[in-house]
Amino acid sequence: MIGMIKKDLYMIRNNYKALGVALVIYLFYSITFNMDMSFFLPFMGLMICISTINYDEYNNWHTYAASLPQGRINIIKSKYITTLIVVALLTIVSLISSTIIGNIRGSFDFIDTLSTMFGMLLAIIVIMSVLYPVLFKYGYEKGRLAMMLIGVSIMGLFVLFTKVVKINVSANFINFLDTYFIPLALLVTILFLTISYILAKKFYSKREF
Amino acid sequence: MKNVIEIKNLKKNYPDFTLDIDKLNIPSGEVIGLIGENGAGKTTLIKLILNIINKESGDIKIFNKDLKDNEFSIKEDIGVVLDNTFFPETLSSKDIESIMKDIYKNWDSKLFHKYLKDFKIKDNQILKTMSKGMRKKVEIATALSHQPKLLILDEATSGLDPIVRSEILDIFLDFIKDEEHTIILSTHITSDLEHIADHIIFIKDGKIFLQKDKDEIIDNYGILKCNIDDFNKIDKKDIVSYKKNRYDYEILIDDKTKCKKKYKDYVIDKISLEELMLLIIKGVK
Repeated sequence: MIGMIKKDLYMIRNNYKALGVALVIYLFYSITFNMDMSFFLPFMGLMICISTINYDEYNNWHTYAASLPQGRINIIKSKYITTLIVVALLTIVSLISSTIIGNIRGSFDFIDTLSTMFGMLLAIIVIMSVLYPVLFKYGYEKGRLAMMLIGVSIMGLFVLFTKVVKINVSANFINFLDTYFIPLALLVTILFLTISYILAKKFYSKREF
Repeated sequence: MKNVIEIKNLKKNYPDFTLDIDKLNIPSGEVIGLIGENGAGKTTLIKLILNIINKESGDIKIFNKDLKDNEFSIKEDIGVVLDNTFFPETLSSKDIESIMKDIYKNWDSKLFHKYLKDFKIKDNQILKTMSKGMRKKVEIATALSHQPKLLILDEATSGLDPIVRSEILDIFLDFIKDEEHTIILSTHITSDLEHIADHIIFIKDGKIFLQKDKDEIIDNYGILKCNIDDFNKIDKKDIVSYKKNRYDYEILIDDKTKCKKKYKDYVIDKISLEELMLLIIKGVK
């Protein structure tokens, strides 16, 4: 599995220009317009990791990888681990940059920034958890269509619940969410990630190349 | 003779094609040439042997071990080169070495570097900047650098110029010097097989049509050439298949010695593997 992780990291290494541009955009908007761009770098990291799946297909890597003594489960495991490493590292870069920018501005709340970054990290892991099983089942080209359908469906459900269906949420429930938001969000993310990994393993082990 | 691969009742269905092999034993210590037209089932068979695709039914034993139960340990001893290039083209040969040493237990970095040096490939050269022949050489060096016992090559020499092909065939001949080593070489370039193969497996329409030692094929099979009048005099039992040309007939026979005695006035030529393939695929039975 280490070999597979290395392979993905070597491929990501070649995206240093894209990451450099992302960092410049992030710094520019954060400094100039005082915008909260905390999602930008980790999200770019996720996109670059997804692009390695596309590149694997383009290079016929999946067929070769299936002939190696690693097993398909390790191929999936390494993709998840690599993505988590990249997204976590870029979240740390975002956090450090935000801390520096905030301190220069003199209006900086570290706990608030840390909570925002943590929330963003969990949100990106949830997005990854939804996308990866689809990509490993259908491949990148067919998976893109499925990804769009999922995106539109989620937005549709969001509109449905917020605009069309008026749900009366009790104050107690809001208080409960407020108090336990971080452990709840963490629990939901772990649940998404676990289900996603199980599904991706199942899909990929049946896939033919 | 030991078998490196033993296959029984293997079946793989596609909507418009079925690979159906009742029994296939591949002897160890030899170069096995896998021939057949496009879509005959050669790559499907290789992918089933490597468990890249799922079989409908059947048993595959490699190194006398069941593939299903011992997949990882079996694959440690197999080197693979596929028809299409498969390494991400942004990697360098140095990256590939770094990756592979964590994939194969028996990875031999010295051997990999020796091959690269022999092939005149730089360590830090990116695959994207290499020619097709150079990339194929990196793939072959990778396949050989974990001390495999079985080398599976699917169209590994296709699209390469004769000089590179000759260099690569020499490496295969060097590899096969060890009597525990076996090569399965699927190719359309039958002249390569005439040069190095010991044994030929001919796949036609998803079935094993012919499996014989190459020398047995070259010694026994032949092409009998005659005009239409002479053609009618030939015993149909002696004809494997035939092809009608503009001015003559070409008849595939499988017992040259017998036919030379029986048809003394006829011309019987030696057959090449390419002619054998053409007469079996395009010829009339």
